Amino acid sequence: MGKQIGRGRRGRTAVHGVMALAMASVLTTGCELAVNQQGGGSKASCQPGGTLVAAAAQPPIPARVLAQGAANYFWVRAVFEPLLTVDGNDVTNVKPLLASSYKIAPDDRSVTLQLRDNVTFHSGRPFTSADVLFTIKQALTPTSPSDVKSILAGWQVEATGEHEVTIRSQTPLSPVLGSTLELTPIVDSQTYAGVANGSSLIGTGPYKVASYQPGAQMVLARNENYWQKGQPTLDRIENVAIPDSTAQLSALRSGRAQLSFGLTTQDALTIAQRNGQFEVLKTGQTVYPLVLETRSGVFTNKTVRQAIGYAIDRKRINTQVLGNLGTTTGLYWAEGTEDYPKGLENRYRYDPGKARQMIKDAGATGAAVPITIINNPVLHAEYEIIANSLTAVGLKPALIALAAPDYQQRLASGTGGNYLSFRGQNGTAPFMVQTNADLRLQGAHRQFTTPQYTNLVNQVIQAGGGAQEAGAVKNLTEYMLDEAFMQVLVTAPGVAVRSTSLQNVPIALGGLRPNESCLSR
Amino acid sequence: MIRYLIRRLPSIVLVLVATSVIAFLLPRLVPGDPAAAVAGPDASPQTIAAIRTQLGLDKPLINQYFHWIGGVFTGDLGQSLQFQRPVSELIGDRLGSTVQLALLAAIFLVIFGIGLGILAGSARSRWARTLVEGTNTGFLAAPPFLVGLLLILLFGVAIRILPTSGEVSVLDNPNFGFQYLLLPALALALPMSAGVARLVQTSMQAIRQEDFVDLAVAKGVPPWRINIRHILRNSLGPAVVAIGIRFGDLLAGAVVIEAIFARNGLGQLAVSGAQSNDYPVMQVLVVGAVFIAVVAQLLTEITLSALDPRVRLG
Repeated sequence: MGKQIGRGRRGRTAVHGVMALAMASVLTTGCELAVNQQGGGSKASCQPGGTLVAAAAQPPIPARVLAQGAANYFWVRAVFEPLLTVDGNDVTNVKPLLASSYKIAPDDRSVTLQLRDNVTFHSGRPFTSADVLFTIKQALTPTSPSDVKSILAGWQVEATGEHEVTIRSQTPLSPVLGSTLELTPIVDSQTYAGVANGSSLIGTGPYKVASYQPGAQMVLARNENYWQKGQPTLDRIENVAIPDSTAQLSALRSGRAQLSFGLTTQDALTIAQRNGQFEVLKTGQTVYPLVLETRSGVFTNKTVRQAIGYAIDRKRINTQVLGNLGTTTGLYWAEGTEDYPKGLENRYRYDPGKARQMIKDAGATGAAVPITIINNPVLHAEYEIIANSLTAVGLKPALIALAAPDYQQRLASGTGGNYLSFRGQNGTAPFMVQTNADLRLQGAHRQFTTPQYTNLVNQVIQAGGGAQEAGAVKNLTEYMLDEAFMQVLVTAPGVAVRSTSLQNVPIALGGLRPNESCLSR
Repeated sequence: MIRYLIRRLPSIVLVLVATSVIAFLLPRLVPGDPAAAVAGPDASPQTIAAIRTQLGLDKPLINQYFHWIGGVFTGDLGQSLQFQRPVSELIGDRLGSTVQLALLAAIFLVIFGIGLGILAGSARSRWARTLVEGTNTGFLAAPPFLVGLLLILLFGVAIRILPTSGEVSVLDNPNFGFQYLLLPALALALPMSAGVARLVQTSMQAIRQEDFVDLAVAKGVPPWRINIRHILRNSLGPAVVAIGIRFGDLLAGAVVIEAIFARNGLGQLAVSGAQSNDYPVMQVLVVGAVFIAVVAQLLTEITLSALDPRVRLG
């Protein structure tokens, strides 16, 4: 009996203990609210200092420093800088960065870059021409994810002085130089081995990596010895991975994050339109093509491929999926570039009646059209409209939605079939035909290939600016439109959402350059 | 109890070995090449092939398995393909976050599950019971993610008093850490507590009909003592089993809750590993989850035997 009473007392004591603990927690909690620690801000004057919290759908992937990608968009240009920088929303706007100046030879086959002599890495070591050679060598290794390997492979890079580099190329340099160097940021030869796993991320940028939690977040701290005096403005940048869109919206609304990247265009526009505290930030142009399987199936017939151009309601995709921010010219190239083939826009205008007749005449009515996409809400929404359009003209579309490893493997191995993709419009036509996986000659994801296509692409690469390049691009574009092996559906900017309290957020091709970004309080 | 644990050891080892084989093979049956994910969206077949070789994915499966399992016995859980960091480091970084969430959710599960069960199972007026049962039914019908979103709307948007995004470790700052944990833990625990409460309620109502309860009433034992000492104690068996099973569900539910509340726990690591076919990460997480389930099952049986002397371990 006594034992039972003892156990009962112990039980009551335990219950009282838990209650006391709970009450203590509540009382402690009452002292200071965590929500008061989170930011907010207003559209007032900018102040130096402060912490920017940037939420991205993907975690930072240091192994991809030498490649362009959403995962590193918010941090990589804050840490690693290129010789030249290119505006993400205007690929013709090229400026020297780690190079103080550059001079292209009259034959356009060599360029001499003068490097800044006051630049040091975060480790304190001075930046020299040897670092440029080392970086390009790393970008060319077989396992490097560099997007510009094919161009770099054709370059001879020589250190012609401690702070001078000369690049020679078999093909014209001026159309590709800016984008190629922007997408090849300079890495530190002494610590590069630690870049892949993020253990040592040493660049020359305005911010140093203060901490990195793989898959979760990266915290950047101001580089006090940055070569541009007076920069950067912010004390600290926290890049946090928030894959869930609801959670990203919550992070913005609660004031935790001032910048968000990875929401769909519609979500981004909705929060910006409904809440005056946020604005949409354009992050560079993206092309959304439908690439067709031309080796087998219904699209071996050119007439059916062309019919697809008339069948798809591009404007509906632009309006309903991409917030009407894009254009539907049907061309792959960046508007505003010198070689943009004006006059070839809108070759395929939406005309379902014509498409239906062409498909009927080709005997393809009722044919199955499987379309492969990567699991992505934008491409899902795009597919729904395409499926609707194709069904209306007598075809039978079917969706094959794949996870990234499967999708990328199939595309790279040429077994992707008809696929929807999205690619950065990150340079001139000669740059894109050498680097873009839908267009390039070597290692392309596209299945269509003919000697004529190869010849026309080579003409674009060899043209070297001016009227000759414009003519070559026009010829290639006419051929692409006629063969219709891919239908460019929409070209639209990528979008991020920024709080109005965050100002000065320039976007380069490689990502955000937060040198002068600042927060108002 | 030690004899009981020793007797269970062979079956536990067998389960873990079988799990290790399944955890190794299952991710590899999923279509897709992790090297393609590492290489990126524009990669050429040559780059993907080079990365595959670099990651050792071109070696025979049997070699890869024994290389991994051999490492596990020496404390090396493998290397993440995506992050190129030791899996043990990735898990170690996140373990605290998930354990804190799971522990607080487990405490809430016990408090709300048994508390609501007692309220609903005790002799009360009809309206009070209807209210409790209505609450219970509401929680039963609502999945954790829905409760999470409602809590975010209520406490993060309408009445902004609790943080709805991010985390602070309780060990670093108990005050803020607790505030960051409160909503996710409630979102995780409340729907699950309804099932436990329903079990306690049903069990209490059945026990209340037993002769020994009538005897206690006839002897003039106070009602609270009858409820706690005689009815509740004898009704807790099914609840303990349910809580043991639900503990595994807490970890599974943490995947969704961590995503909604932007917490970087093991759930998020599992999702990211699955999305990128990061085999080593997935393998270890699956084996770890099974190990936790086995331990929870053992603890359940031990607790049951402590509650009810008629239950013998063995």
